[in-house]
Amino acid sequence: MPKAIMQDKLNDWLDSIASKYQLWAPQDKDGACLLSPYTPGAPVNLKCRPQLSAKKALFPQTECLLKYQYHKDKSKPEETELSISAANPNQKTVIWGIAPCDVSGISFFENVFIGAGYQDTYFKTRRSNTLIAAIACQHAESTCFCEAVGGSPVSAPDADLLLTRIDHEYVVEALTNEGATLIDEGLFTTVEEAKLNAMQQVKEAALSKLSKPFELGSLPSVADKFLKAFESPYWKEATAACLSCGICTFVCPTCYCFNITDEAQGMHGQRLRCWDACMFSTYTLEASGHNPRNIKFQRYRNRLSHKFSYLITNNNVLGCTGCGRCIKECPVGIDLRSIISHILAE
Amino acid sequence: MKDILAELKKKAAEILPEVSYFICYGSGFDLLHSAPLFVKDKGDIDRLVLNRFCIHNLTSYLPPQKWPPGWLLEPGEKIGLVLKGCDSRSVIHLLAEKAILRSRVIIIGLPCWGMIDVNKLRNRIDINRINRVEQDKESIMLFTDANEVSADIKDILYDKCINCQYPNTLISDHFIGAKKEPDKGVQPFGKVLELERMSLLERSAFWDKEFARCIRCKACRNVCPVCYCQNNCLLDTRVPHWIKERVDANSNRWYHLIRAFHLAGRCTECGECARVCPMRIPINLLAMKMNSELFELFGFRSGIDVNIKPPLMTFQLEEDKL
Ligand code: SF4
Ligand code: SF4
Ligand code: SF4
Ligand code: SF4
Ligand code: SF4
Repeated sequence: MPKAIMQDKLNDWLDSIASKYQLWAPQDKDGACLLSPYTPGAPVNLKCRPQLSAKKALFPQTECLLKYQYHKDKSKPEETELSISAANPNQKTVIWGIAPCDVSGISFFENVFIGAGYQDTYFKTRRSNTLIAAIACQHAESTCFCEAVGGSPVSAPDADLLLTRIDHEYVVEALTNEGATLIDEGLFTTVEEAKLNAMQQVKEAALSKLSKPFELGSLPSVADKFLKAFESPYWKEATAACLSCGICTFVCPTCYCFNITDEAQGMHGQRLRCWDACMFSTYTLEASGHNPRNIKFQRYRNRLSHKFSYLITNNNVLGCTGCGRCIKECPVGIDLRSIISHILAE
Repeated sequence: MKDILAELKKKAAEILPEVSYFICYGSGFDLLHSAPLFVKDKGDIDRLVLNRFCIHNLTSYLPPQKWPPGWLLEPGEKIGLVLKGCDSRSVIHLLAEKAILRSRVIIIGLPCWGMIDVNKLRNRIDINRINRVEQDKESIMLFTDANEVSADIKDILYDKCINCQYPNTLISDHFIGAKKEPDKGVQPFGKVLELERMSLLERSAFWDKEFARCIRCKACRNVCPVCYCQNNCLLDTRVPHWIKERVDANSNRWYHLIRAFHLAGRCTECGECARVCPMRIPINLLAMKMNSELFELFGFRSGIDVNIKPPLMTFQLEEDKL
């Protein structure tokens, strides 16, 4: 049975979670809204859609994969020994207050990073130690289109808890047993029939706020259309204004490209995994100097075709949750909704 | 600016046969945004817009070093574009650096009444539900289904527009509309002076906090009209690996400080680097600080005179000011 908590008790609840878990929550920071580590008592903002998605909690922008150390024995100068210690990011974590589109982003990552073909230890360890408390989204932005790509603003089946705001109160539904353990009895009240109905109404109202910019059709047919449009001159035209920056990829909950570098300091160092972006001109630059994606339309075409074609073919998933961040943050107004519509109609 | 839209469309149609593309503004993803528009066919001229949201500095698309052949414009092709006063400084500077050819560009100039910073509207109204906007020179009315607000333009302009020294395009082939009086008593480096009033420790804490937020998306560099080093940029080279792959306050600091040095007397103060920043970092202030130093030393202002050699491109054996 769902429980309810008053808005002014939220911090008490979060403080209690934070005493047992590493806790991420959306907060206002210097004019930006960001999902950030929670410090007791900090004001949270459940009405914003953070500029960066929740992927950063499970797939940090800079991640140390391992530390290494060379050892030399002066008596045997020809020999070098190497010791390696791999990171084990198994800290118990709660990601709190994220919208359903960000939960879909995490599920998407599972498909790629702990799918049938490949298991990423680091992501897997983080994910299996993480609980998610999602919030039904009543603040759809003008750029949101989660429903058009198969999502819903008010349900998050892969979360552990789902919060729904009704005026100054939050109804909290436990979707998993582990999620239920986060509900701190002392702070919550039981929920009557009337409140459950109110919750249902709030969810329905949220649904009607969304725009549906296109009808996707079956996933294989989408994959096919994008493949067929590969040579279309439209790509060049649609991306004329693009700056080849990393904004759309970095803010995206499903973009997962990374780069691995060794950061050496004399005899020791770290192996780092850092976000990369297929929109950067250097992303495909080869050592010979040749660049197979030298021109920005080729890079943008890759980004979208990856999401709407290659991932469908390879993993049977769509690489877009409809969060709209790439539209809102793109500095030159490139709107993937209109590009998708165009390709689907071409 | 609406009143000169018809005139702009007429001029655009006139020059279109001479250029491969005319770069201007079209509508954006909602009523509070416009977006760069590349017009090739006469039929598309009707898509032109001119409003208080045409903030983009279209000069970013000019340097051929920045965009390899094949993206849209080929080297040597003529380009037409519409430029605001501040944007035209970038063109003048690129000409002074001989980075672009004057014969390649046809510029339509206009008077500008200032652009609206959508971030300054956020606290006034739900910017996601705007369904009508009415604007004139002094004020703006925004409507949602539930609500309407009006605002004094001065309160919601971009910082750079609040005191605009160059509201009219400084270099153009065709000027449309009547020139606007520049604002009086403009302190061009005002924001830098504000930061300088902080103590050293406060200022360093301020920048540490900003650098810690930076996600190194490189949008500030990519939008900058005078950042055209492409793959040779310090941020992208691997040998030497100037900037660590690690994204943290420390390595971000190196990126931004070195870049600021490369922008000394080259930054044209268009503010685009700060506008595009997804983390809302006022990164333009670093280059502005370098400009203020060069102004103090040599009286140099970038992007004002095509014939003055920018300080970074010249030197004297005996500098009298150093
Ligand atoms: S955010 Fe916009 S400008 Fe930047 S790479 Fe993406 S589409 Fe291009
Ligand atoms: S592609 Fe854009 S809308 Fe889709 S998930 Fe990524 S950021 Fe969100
Ligand atoms: S700085 Fe001046 S010319 Fe530039 S947009 Fe603002 S008001 Fe217009
Ligand atoms: S645009 Fe902002 S976040 Fe991106 S690299 Fe520049 S300062 Fe950093
Ligand atoms: S550094 Fe920033 S303000 Fe200066 S010219 Fe470049 S984009 Fe414009």
